[in-house]
Amino acid sequence: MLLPVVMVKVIKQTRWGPTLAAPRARQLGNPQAKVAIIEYSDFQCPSCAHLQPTVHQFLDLYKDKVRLVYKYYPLTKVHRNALGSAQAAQCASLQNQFWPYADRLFATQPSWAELTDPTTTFMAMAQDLRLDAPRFRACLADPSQREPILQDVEEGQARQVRATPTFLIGDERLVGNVLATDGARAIEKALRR
Amino acid sequence: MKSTALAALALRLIIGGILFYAGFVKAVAPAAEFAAVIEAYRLLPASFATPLAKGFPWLEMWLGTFLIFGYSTRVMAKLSAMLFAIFLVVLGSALLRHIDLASCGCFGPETLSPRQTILLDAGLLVLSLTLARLSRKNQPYSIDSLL
Repeated sequence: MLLPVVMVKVIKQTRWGPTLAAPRARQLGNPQAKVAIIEYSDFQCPSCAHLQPTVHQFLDLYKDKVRLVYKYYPLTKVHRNALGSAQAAQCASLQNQFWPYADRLFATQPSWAELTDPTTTFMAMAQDLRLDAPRFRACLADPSQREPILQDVEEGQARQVRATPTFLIGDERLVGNVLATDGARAIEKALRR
Repeated sequence: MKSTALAALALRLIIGGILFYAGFVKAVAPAAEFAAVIEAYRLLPASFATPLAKGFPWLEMWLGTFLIFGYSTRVMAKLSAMLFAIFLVVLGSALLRHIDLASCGCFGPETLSPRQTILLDAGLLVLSLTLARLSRKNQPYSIDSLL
């Protein structure tokens, strides 16, 4: 009856390797902060949108001690516009408007999530934020802008991320709404280390 | 009768195998994912999610192991039936309360839909009850028959 224990111990991955650095444009908070909340997220994921206020509350609560790092993790098999929205956010990040654009994507998620072609909507958001429209449009059409997204996905897959949002805080992993109940404890634990 | 013995063995292997696999897959994955699923059903206090997520897969694996090897088969079959009945109640409750489980932490496409899971659990409940009935008398090809 010890066989299951041995099998799990042998197979279960406990070391996840280093996290790739994310560009400064996709980090929020004090860059020198001791604790990083790494969020693997999908702009078309309703839970991700729902939890954004909670994440920002933690940033406000812990101020300079915590920073947020956003990692693209579009669930392309279940969300038709996940990759497109990630690319739009990536294009906004090139104009240093990642966070305002990300907030806009989450806030208006129902309006573009099921569109066959949300390009017009993404362009409209870019114009609302006064981004350079021709540059943004060219970026949207550029396949090379998917590279950073695919790198994040590859990293997430290596870390067995299978759901969004997944938060890594110190050595703890929180998925979905559990952030709201266990997030503070995880942050405090990471701060004490 | 030999056919009864073979039927009991088949049921033990099917139910035990599914339970073991289900528990094993959860045990080797990060517990946080299962905790998110538990929390999504909104039936328990949120503080229960993580401890339950860590312990429950082991319950499934032990139950599955005992069934596969045919140890205390009748008791294990009844426990399995109880477990599947609880799953059905939990899932049914979520559907009745219109909880959109797919959106509570967006999981990949590999997850069964709630309706698929209900069908599976209902089938396993019936099989477990059948096994409990067949195991009134110790069946061959089991540890029970050796004790």
